[in-house]
Amino acid sequence: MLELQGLTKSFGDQRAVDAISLMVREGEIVALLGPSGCGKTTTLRMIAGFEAPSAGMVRLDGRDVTAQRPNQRGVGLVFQDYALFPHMTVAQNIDYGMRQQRVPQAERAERRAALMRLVRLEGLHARRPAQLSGGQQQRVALARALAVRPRLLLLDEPLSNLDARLREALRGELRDILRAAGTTALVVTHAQDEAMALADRIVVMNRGRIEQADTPEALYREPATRFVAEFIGRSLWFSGALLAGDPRRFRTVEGIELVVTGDATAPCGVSIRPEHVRLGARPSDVNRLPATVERVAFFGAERHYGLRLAGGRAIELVLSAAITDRPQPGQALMLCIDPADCRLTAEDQRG
Amino acid sequence: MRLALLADDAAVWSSRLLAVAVVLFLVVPIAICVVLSFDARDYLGGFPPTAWSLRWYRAFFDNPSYLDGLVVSLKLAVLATLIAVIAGTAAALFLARSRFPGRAALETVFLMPKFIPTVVIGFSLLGFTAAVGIRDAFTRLLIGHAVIVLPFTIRAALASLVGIRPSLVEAAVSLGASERRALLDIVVPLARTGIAAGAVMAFVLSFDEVAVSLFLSDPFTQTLPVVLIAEMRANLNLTIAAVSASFLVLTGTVLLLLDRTLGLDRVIGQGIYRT
Repeated sequence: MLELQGLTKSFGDQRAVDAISLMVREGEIVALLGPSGCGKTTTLRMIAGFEAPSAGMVRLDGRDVTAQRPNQRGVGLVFQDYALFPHMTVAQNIDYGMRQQRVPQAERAERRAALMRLVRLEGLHARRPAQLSGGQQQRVALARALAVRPRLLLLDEPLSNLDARLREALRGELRDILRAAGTTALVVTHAQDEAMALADRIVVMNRGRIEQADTPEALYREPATRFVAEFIGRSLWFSGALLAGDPRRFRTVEGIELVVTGDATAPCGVSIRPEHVRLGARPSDVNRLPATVERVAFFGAERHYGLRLAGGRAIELVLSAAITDRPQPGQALMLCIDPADCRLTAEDQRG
Repeated sequence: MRLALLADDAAVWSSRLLAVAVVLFLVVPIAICVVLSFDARDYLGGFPPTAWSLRWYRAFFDNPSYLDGLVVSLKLAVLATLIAVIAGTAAALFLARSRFPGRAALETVFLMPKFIPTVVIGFSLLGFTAAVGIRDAFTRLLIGHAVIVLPFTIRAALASLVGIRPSLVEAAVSLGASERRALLDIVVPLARTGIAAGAVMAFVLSFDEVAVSLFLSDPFTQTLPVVLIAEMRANLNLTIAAVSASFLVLTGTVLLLLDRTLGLDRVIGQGIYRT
């Protein structure tokens, strides 16, 4: 449906977006996730047509739209600041795009009513944007963008202007609305929980390039690079190298030997999700790590453990508070990690 | 600590002093002028007047040269404002939307008439219009007044345009509007307050202008202030006080109208698009 081919944007000799290629299928919700300055917003603006690519192509439904003006692309956009027209009512805002398309009055009213039901704004049609809460403004922006039935809907940090509690509530609602509208959507965000809650597929970007594109689960389970392992969820990272002649045995720089799974070519390291670390090991276990408890902090559903490994490395574990066996500060114990949870992962190429 | 408090006190007192000075040197003379316009005496006597009448107002309306001057001034103010608003808004749009080297310099050039003495502008324009063969005094005056008030309409329009977030125009375009359409539907309505404020400034400035008009008038086409100066030289009497009071009423009315019609809009408007 949407296809990017080698899309590049240079500012001076800086490559903000570096030869990105990506496919988005009909009806799919894809998140572009990355830290600020990774090029995700520039990518979005090139798809919308507000930024001309230095190289590469944007295709919509198989047609090259790279040279088309933004108002000819049929791409809807929900702005980070919502960009509601302050001098128009909610109804006028939603109608604006349909007026440009010369949708007849009766159909316009019908579509508007359906959308206002969908985004739960019934009865607010005569309000001005300034008289709405942040969450309501966000939903008006969504309804306005959907009213023109765009082929593709782009959302730029749609929830970042809302406070934390509201953001969580709206996350699910936003996904339901996008699903109900059946639009193909590309969401730009820097918040991994937002991307995971909204998207069928997450494209992780860093320094103008795509690090990995996959479902949230696959990204979490099998991160392709250290950047992805550390950006999506928590990760314990061990640098080091495979032992010569054995693709399953890894020696960390601290001198810890681990049996690992997965394959990656050097330079590589081992990524371990903290919840896969077990406190207390049986003699039969492989990957037994002696450690000392330094700190324990209670956070309701979970407990944070500050541990120091034998080689001197400090690690932080987050474990369910329901676990009854609670080691105390100062106590020495054995940690155990299943080899299947020690994933060999490519080290980042740092420039 | 004590020193800081003292400094605060000093700041408060000096601002009060300033307010008193403004009242003393601006408001009191104007009040005296208004009172004098109702003086019945033939000569400029002591204050307050001993007898009252409307004779100077009658003198004003009986003297055709005053009325001619009033008509010229009003026509000039309306036309110069119209030209300056259109040209100023266009220039401001251009300045607000473009980023190029020399933009700041261009902005300075546009605003320059504000900083050049009006006597200089008047004389330069007299020389210029004579050189290019503009003999009609009204045309000359119109050019002069438009040039003088243009910086104010540019400033006012620019200030309100800069406050309009670029995402608003992009939103309109992403909804299918052409850039021209977005300009008319979004930018112009939101900048309306600023543009109107600039227009009022322009009107009042043009109406009050003296120096440039002195150079560009001829005996048959004179603005009201020029007529006043001429009359004052010929026979000094209190007609000038009556005209001044009328001036005040006219200017005050325009400003009041502006506040009533646009002030409310501004209260609602500013909170929204200046975030």
